[in-house]
Amino acid sequence: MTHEVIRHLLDDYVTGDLSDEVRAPVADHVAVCAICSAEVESLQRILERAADLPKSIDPPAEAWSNIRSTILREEKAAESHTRSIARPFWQRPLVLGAAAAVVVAVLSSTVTALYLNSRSASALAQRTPGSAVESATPATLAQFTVEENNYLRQASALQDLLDQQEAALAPETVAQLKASLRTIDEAILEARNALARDPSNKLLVEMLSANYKQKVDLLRRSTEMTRGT
Amino acid sequence: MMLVASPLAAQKKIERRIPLGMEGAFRVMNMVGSIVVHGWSKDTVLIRGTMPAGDKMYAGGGYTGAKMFIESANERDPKPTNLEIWVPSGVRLWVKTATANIDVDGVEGGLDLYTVSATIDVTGSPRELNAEAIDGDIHINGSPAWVRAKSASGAITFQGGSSDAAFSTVSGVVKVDGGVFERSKIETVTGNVIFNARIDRSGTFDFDTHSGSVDIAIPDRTNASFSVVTIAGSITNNVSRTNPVPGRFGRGSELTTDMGEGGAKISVRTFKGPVTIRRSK
Amino acid sequence: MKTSAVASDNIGPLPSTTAEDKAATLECIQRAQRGDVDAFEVLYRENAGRVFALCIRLKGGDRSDATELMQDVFIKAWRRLETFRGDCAFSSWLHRLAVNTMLENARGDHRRSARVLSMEDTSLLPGAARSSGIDLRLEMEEAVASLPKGARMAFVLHDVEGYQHQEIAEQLSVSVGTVKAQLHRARRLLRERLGEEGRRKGEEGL
Repeated sequence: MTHEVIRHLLDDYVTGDLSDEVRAPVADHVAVCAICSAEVESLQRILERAADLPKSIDPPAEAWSNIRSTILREEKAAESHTRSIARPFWQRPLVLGAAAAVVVAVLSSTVTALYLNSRSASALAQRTPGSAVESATPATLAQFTVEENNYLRQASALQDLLDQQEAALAPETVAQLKASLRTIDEAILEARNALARDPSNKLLVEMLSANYKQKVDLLRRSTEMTRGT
Repeated sequence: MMLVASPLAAQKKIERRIPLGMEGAFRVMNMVGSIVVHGWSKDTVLIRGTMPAGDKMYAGGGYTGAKMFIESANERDPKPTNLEIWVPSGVRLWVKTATANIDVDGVEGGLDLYTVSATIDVTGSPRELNAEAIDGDIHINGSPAWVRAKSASGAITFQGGSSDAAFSTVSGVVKVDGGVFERSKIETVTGNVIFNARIDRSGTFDFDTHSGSVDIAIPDRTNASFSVVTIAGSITNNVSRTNPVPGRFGRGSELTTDMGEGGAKISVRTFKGPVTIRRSK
Repeated sequence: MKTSAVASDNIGPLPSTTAEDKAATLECIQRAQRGDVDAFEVLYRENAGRVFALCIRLKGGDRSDATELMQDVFIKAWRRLETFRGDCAFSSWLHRLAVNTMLENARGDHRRSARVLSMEDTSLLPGAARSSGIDLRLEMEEAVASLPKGARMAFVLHDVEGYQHQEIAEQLSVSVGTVKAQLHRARRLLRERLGEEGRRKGEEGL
């Protein structure tokens, strides 16, 4: 192994992540190479300082009372059968930049963390009480952007499925279907641009969410229709 | 019912009977052609029709559940099969087609009707009705207690009433006419919505569209509370003297007003679709 | 979780390690699951310091952001308490929840980028002010806080908190390669920021 190769292994060497066979030649090299041993030393110093950081930092005293009052409020709300749960009072309203920021931030994100698979059921307000047909809509923009990512993924997966099954549908139907999807996409775009200009508009958030639901629903129905034909 | 004999291929006649209990379930799949179903009081399914000579029909099942489907000789170019079926009126009926029109009357149990681009016609008042099309129209003439109808580009017309109705299209028109409703939800993206019906004073009625027009006509002596919001559209109020007020940032419009003593909750939300609310005589 | 070979000077309560402590915690959890807020407070007291330390470092040193995040974490913990099965330590479960919550909240958080602490501003990290190593620690905290977000997350999770590469990759939904690259970047940047000081101090004979 050359010096050039070993230089890139030093991180793993210092943290003990190299396999035994690789470790030995690296150790041998470090022993005789001034550049590498200096690097190893400074890496070790960084790691020591990292490990040396306090494991615990005292939070502000009022944190617990904030938590406690929110919990108690939620328990009370749950008891009196209300469907909407109050947001913690300290949550500041979110401010979005231009329309471009919305589109770019949501679509180009590469972080699709575990939360995408589990939605927090809190703070999702229902619009009409007792409505069997209505499903919960996001009450805040933050929740919506989580949902939007979910929809985009679902829509994309369904679209792929549909593309595969396209041959099973008559061309006129395919054309109509694509036209319908385009219609929904245009509505989504309009609503989103409006939302970017007026980010705290809950109605817009709900409309946008409804549009997405319709899109995913249409895609899902279409893929189900073509199955078995 | 007209049985169409295909000029291009020989057709064979169908005649089958399957015992099926009044509360049973019956499934039919026929992609191309037509399906007409009548509900009757016998506990038997009678299937009549014509199908292409090369196709096969499978039918069978037990007293609680039976099914039939048509298997095309050539999947890529299926020829029409035309069916007329009598089923016990209390059954749960499930039908799936691609382009075959579906026409059901007199079935009271439950209906699940799926098509891609055909027309769905339902006459009668099943307890539950679920009709879905991608490209096809849906016409319902009756009062299913619970009804869901969805089409993307097809129109939905409904004559009758319901306790729990939801209609959804993308660009198709939704036209509701007559009947008494306890609860309804109508949503479109660009399709126009016309609602002219009687409503229960304790009900909730939601109308959502992006750019379709919404026209709601409620009988004169109804007690209802309207809540109308449009982000960029207009509101015409022919129900009361209240004027719509400008919406957020001066765009769009909002209106809250009562008819009579208020009661039924009518909520209309559009992005830019114009809204008209008025009294029907 | 991999523990560091270097003994660290801990401030605040250590997570429960004895069998007795574990049983006591489990009992608290069960009572809290049944709605006992006071039992939950005990769990809070036991874990808040560690969670807050994680939050403040993930949030690049911003104390108010970290407080908000920490409150969020505990509220979520309360709501999801039934999902805790006892197959791992409660503090680990809370930790994961903190990272997930942070990622979840960050989705809507466009304007809050990592804020670089000014060298003079020590009010943001009072918890670090108790031992003799204050200057070095503060310096390190500030340096970590000044890292770009991805590098900071990888560094805090791996080198401070002790998660493995694979675990971090899963939580952040990136590849192990990405985690390693971010780690490498973080360490290099830290050495640049701190290396000068270290050398200078060495030269001045400190």
